[in-house]
Amino acid sequence: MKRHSDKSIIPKIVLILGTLSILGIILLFIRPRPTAPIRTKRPETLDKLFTQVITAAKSQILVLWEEGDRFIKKSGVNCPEEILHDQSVGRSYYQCNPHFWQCFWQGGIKTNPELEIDLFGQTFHIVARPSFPMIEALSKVPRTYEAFRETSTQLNVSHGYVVELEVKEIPGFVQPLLLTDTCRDTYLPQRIYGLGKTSDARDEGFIWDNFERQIFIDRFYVTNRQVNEWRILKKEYNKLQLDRKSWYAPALLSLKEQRDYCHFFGKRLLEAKLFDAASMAPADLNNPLPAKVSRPSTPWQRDLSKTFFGVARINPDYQLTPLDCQLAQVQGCPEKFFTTDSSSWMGMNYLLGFYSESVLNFFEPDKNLKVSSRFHDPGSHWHELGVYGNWEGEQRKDLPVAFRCYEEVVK
Amino acid sequence: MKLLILFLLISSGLAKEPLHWAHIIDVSDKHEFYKSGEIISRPRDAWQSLFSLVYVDRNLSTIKDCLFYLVPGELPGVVKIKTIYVEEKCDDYLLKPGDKEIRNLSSLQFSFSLEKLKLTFSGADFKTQTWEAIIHSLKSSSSAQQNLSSAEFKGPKLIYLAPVILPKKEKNKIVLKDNSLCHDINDDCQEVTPSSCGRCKSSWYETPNGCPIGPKFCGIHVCGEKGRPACRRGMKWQRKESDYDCRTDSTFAYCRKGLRIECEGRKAYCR
Repeated sequence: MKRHSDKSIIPKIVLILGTLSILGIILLFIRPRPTAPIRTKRPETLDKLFTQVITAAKSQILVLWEEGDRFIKKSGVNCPEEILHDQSVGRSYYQCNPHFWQCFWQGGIKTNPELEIDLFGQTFHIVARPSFPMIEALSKVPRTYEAFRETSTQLNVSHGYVVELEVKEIPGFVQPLLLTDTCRDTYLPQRIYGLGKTSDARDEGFIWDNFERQIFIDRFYVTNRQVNEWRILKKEYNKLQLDRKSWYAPALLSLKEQRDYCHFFGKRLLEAKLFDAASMAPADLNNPLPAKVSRPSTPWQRDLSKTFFGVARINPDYQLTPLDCQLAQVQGCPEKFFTTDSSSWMGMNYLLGFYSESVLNFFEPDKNLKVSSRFHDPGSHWHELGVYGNWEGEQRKDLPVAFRCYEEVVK
Repeated sequence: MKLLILFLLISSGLAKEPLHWAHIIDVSDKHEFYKSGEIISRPRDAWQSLFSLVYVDRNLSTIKDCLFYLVPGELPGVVKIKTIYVEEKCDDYLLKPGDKEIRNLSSLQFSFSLEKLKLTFSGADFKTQTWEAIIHSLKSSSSAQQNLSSAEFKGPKLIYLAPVILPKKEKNKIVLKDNSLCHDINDDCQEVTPSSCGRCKSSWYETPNGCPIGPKFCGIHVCGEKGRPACRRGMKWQRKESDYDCRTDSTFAYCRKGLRIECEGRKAYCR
């Protein structure tokens, strides 16, 4: 019985092994094979080589422009005419910042400023040309960029920076480029929103929607650096803010100037209903048409009583924690700029606390100021979303008022 | 003869395509009948406008190279290039001298793709030469979504400019004055003309008329005040289907507290 069983198993094993071998051979033939990399032929003419090197450098140029903060070491930067490095300034300040661009190419970030591109078995070095006129009030060296603002061109770009690049190994050629400010604002998703507070839970209050509208809101307050750029474009050199320590701080302009600034760039001063939309997180992000529009009291917690604001209202001796100051910079917090610790649900920063902010309110024009600021103690009743005060439109030393713009794009 | 042709090409700087053809943003004014990849043989001995290559110069003016072709017949073929502002018409320069010319051609064809245009021509000796234009479209494919910036929504992050300058003309500066209509939407919600609100001197405002997109005018955006257009409130927050004609349902707009909506046709104003 045992012998008979051995006889029947061996052919089966042979058959299985044979089948597996054949399958293995078939798979070997049909498997995807590594192909030799397609090698683009090196252009025969220098102009075409130059064009290909510059085109290949596109992603590196954009990283330098949009993510300049990645290049800054802990030791900071060495270009005091462009940037006074300060630990109180968040890294977002250096993104899409022409002063960072100037600082980098002046050697303020690294000793040999250049972008390296490996192409056709050769390493090429790209540098920016300081070919633009100096702005005497700011610096005595030629610029590596020039701000541009034009509404009359066919381009769908009204504002940007022209720069010129060269390739060290291919002399005699210059490539002008236009860099756009992709860091400034962020999109407000299309959905139903509420304005202000409601008297009770059953009251739906003022609601509205932005379907079919492409609205982009500034992520931060407009800074003195940006206002300087506006003044330079208008050739108002005598009005430039020369204190470099103030460049990252919010610009404190009159209401008229705030509106003029925004209009100059084809934008508008932010509206109260947009501030609320951008800071009040929807209950369900996936449902743009909810049956009820939620109106949370803070950007990070629906119920104010559960926040440090609520505690501070009850307890006047409340001691602020570092986390509190990250969420909202109120009286007693160290001053920080360009922090992204308290970003709203759609990416807007500087919400409650920080500076009082000017807004337009076409429904209730007198309610044109988000009062909550770093000049109000944490127990202040102004620290709540949907709560607005009135601003006459002129700056006061005891209540500085920041602003930001938004843009509605029509394609 | 060969030497003569070569000399003519090189001496006129036309041995290769212009450098700025590496930064074309659009191809326009295409000939109605000529097909991509076909040799152009008719009408013989007549000038034809082939297409124009649009690019942005160092001064951010949008200009174009119009390409004309004298189809060979009794006379040898000629390619003519004329650089003009984008608002101008190539046809107006059909019979005028070009800025550059390639003479003594026996044949010519061109082919398009989304990224490239190839122009292939041969001289009297039938030796062919190919010029290439690289197309970097400025049309944004981005649909608006969370975290997108307005700059990305409008176009590419980086625009290659042609390293040439065409003297600026006043004609290229078309700035729309305040209160001029910059986006014409009729009462049937149809777009009569595309938006040119980007050319407004300052900003623009909308007069809500119950359409998904309303007519727009250049000027400061002030709404909801007495005598001004009402502010747009939207047509979905009501959560109902409605014909949002101001005269029947004006909930698509609002005025400041205390004012009421008054209709002028479909349009909503505040009184």
